[in-house]
Amino acid sequence: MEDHKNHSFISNFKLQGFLYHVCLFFLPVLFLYIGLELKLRDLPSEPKVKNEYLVENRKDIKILVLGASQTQRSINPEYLDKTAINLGNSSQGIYENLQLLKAFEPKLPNLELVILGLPFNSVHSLQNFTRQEIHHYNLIIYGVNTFGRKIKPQDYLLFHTNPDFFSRRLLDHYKNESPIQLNKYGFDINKIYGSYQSADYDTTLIDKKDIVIENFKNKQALKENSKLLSEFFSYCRNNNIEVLLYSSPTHFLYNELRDKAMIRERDSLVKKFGKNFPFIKFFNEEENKSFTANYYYNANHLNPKGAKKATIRLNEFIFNNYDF
Amino acid sequence: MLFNSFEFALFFPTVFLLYWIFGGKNIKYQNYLILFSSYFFYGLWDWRFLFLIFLSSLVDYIIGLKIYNTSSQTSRKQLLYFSLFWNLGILFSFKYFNFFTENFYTLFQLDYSSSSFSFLNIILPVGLSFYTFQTLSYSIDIYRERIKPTSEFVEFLCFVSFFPQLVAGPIERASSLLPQFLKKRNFEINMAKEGLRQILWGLFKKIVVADNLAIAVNLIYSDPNDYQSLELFYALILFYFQIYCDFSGYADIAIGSAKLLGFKLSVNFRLPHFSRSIPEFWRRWNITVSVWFRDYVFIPYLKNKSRTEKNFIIATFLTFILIGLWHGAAWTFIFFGLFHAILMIIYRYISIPTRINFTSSFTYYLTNGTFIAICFFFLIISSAFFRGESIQNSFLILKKIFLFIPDENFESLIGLKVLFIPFLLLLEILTLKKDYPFFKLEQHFSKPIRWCIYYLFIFLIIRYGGPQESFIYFQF
Repeated sequence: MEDHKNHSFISNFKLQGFLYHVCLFFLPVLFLYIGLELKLRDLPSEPKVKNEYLVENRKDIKILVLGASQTQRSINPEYLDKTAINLGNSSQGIYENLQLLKAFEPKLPNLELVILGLPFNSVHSLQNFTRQEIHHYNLIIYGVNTFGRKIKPQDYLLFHTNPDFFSRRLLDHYKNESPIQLNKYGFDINKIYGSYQSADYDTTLIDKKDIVIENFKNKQALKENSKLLSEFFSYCRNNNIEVLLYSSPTHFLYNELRDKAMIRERDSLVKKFGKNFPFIKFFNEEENKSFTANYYYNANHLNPKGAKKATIRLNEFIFNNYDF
Repeated sequence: MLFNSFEFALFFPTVFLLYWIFGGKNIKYQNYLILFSSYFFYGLWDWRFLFLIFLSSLVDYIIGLKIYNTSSQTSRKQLLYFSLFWNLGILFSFKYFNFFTENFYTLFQLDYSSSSFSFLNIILPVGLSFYTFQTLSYSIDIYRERIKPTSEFVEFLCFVSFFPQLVAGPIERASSLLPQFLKKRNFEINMAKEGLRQILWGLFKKIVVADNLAIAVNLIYSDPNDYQSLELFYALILFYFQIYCDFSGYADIAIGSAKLLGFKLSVNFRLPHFSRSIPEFWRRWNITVSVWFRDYVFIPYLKNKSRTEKNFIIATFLTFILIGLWHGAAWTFIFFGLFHAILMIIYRYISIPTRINFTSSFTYYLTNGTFIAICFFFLIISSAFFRGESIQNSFLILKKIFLFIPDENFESLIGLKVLFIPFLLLLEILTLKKDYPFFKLEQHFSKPIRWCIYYLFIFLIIRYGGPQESFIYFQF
């Protein structure tokens, strides 16, 4: 018995020493990681600036823009007559947009119009297509859960979602070489240097093989997205909000690669919804030929110059079709 | 719960603290805590399968005792057959029923829609192949009178469900793991340190190497038609290292976690890519599974037959087809097994160079290197079957590789992260005689240097970790 007690005592003593050293070892790692996370939250980012704008102007905002990167990069709220915010984000799907709408609509008392980006392939994108860091940003900055599941403690961390991306951002920041230049609406007015600029906007130098296009039909996603869109429109109807579906200009080289059946499916879905929700309008700029190569960042994303032109055209459309 | 998840980073330290602070006083507390933690760990995937693992344990526990207490050889045999039928029946129902039904219909060109049979709409319980084999070996070993059964039910439940090795091995024999549950574990600081170091090494292999390689491998394998010879061959090499780092990384974390709780698990990998022959490869790769098949399929088959060349060939084919099928119910795995069986037979007639045959070290190392390179080439080719999404897909990859179609726009897809492979190999070569590169590091470096090494690897894991991937062997 005495021996057993002795052994337990030694064992406990060893355990305490071990725990002490483990804590001592991990403490710097923990502090560094916390510092890293805090620094990342402190860096200027689109969601951060947008949120600041939202907080300051929530009572004046009349237009809320939602969608994925095409919409994010094609609408600069600076050129809209009405106060607007563009919460579009890279790869942000319909589910995420619906969650953002539900979270922000109650906070925006004068919201009149929601613009939802609807490129030809958006209804075929599965929810897991959305980049992970978007969910984390939505949660950390906007306080909106777009994960489609219960929140876990690690969802409040940013760095691990895309270490390459965030390391680059930190490095750029410390070298004072950040390519991001955000206006007060959180729109990046410096996103010029894409593949089209590299080719000096000469379409003969652009290889079609290098154009990234999501041309995959997905019936399951189509079914799920149809349901989500229906929920989206019902929500807007119940809250007296108009809906404008929008597809931004895309370059003709990109348009040639699009799957025609996918375009037809998207268009017939819009038509179907138009019957049930008559307040929906669709402004499709995909084939607008006045957007020449020098308006593009790459084949399906506008550069800030293109965004200015597209937003001015959108502003005209809103002026001609809505009276708020 | 994955070992490379935040959940595990919370779960394991909690278990560790509770285990040593409260469980440290009494063996019963220790085992209850392990049992509860293991069932919690497993139940997080799907709590319904807890009943299956419990039932499976209960059946083998009772059968083990009955076999031991029965003197009649016929009854003993019947009990063993019941255990085999029970364990293999579960495995067949969950893992192979749909595969065999589908192939039966295809073989006899039957119309599935008009039949009264239906495919089972069930999911495969995680780690089923691992724990079923563990319980099977328990009953067989009792039947062969190699071990005595335990009457301690809780300890037996712990043996079947021990969470570090529950879902992807190493498959432990009752003779080595069960006695460890029957005696109290005392905290050993050196063992705990080794455990932490091995976990760190495993996490590096899994998160930094395997998960980064997975980006390129998944992309290329998802549509091999889009790629040419060089890219496809490159993908096969990457896949070998992906699966090696994935599985051996898991094993390292499992063994390391077990060490922290005072347990010793079997080594499952011994640098298989430095094998000079395929038989040597199977002595270094997934060792516990290959030894299981050797002891329970290959040797028993040969024991019952005359030791002729023909019987050896049959035993080899049988063993490797079963090893292939153990990995999954698909033709790709059967072809993987067949390919290795053929190589095993071929290598039987090739003598591997030994140091004595050579007068010059240079010629010896050159010959050795050539043998390693040839063996590695075969491994790469066989991984086309292992990873292929279908048998057609695997053959398409091999066909395109051997057509030597040049790639105009060859891209590495993961960029310089591929350099983690030579980094890994270099560390392994420098520490060839160790269990893993961090083993007994205190014998070589002072504390500040050791800590710098650990910090470097933690930095690599945090900074260069790939997108989280599940462990490949969980599906088996």
